[in-house]
Amino acid sequence: MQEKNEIQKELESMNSKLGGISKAMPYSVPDNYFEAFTAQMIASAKEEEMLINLPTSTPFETPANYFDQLPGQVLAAAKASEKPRTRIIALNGKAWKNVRLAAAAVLLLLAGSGIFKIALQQDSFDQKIAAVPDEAIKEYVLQNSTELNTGNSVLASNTTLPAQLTDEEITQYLNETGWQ
Amino acid sequence: MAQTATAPEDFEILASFKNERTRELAFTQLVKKYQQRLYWHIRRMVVAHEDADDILQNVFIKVWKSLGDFREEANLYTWLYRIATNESLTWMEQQKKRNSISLSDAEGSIGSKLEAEKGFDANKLEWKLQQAIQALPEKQRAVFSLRYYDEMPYEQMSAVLETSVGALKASYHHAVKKVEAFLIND
Repeated sequence: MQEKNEIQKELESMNSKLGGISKAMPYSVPDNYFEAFTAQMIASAKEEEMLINLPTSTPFETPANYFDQLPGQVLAAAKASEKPRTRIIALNGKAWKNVRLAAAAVLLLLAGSGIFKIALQQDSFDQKIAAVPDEAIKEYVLQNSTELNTGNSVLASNTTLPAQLTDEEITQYLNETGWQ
Repeated sequence: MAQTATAPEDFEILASFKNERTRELAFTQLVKKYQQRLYWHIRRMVVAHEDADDILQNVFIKVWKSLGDFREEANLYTWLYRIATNESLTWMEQQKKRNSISLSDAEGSIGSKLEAEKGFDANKLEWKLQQAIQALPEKQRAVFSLRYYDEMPYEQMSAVLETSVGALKASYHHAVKKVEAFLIND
């Protein structure tokens, strides 16, 4: 190698003493390894080429017209084994839009009809009240005055309540009983 | 290396390889011309003969498969070294992974392979030098081997290792210092 002197000089420039060490390899190699290696490589290369160049056709034969008849046979077998299936409809973007619009329309109809009904009922009640003559109302009040009198209410009948309760005491009572 | 004295030039080998009739002869010439250089380059990195032999065979199989597509403007010598180096580095990477999941790490390590070599003597300088080289990281081991043993110019090393000349010089410099430090301290 022409580089030899350059290698030595380079090592010297590094103040290295490696240039003075023998480069002989201490490893051993089997006898006649390199002589046999070439022949072995040729054999390996030929084997590799044989594998690469293996024919792609097969020596097997098929019955006459096998491939002409095969599609029909497969189709018939497939139909015979077919079971009723649940139809699945794939929804595209347009279909999804229609579904959303339909859902929104149904919701609006339901909500609208409910409100209309409530409003209708409210109007009906008010109309009925308005239709009752004032005299009839007065008569009803007079007849049912004992029930309408707050003195007969549940609260008024509760005699266990102390006469004088402060706001704080009422709040505390409500807190303790879980009402507030 | 004596085999290379009468070996045909690389361009002659390439021309013969392209001819179906002389293809086998050309391949034989190529193997004869480069087998020893590539073998020792590989063996310095992987230590054991059996491993070096496996890698070298893989290298030449790859050469056989792709030499027909080889661009003649490229350097056959550096191309062969590139294949050999890459195959060795890949093999070492696989060994490292295998050892990392194996319970017998010590058995598979390069250091233990070196000690198992015939005639190993840790007190002899040539064996200590090999131990020092094996202590280098894999790529730096390749750099040291190509420069120190194969005496390859940095430009060719750059083509083999696909690394800049500057980076290779720095790597080799560090490798020399590490090897020397190993020889002095161990």
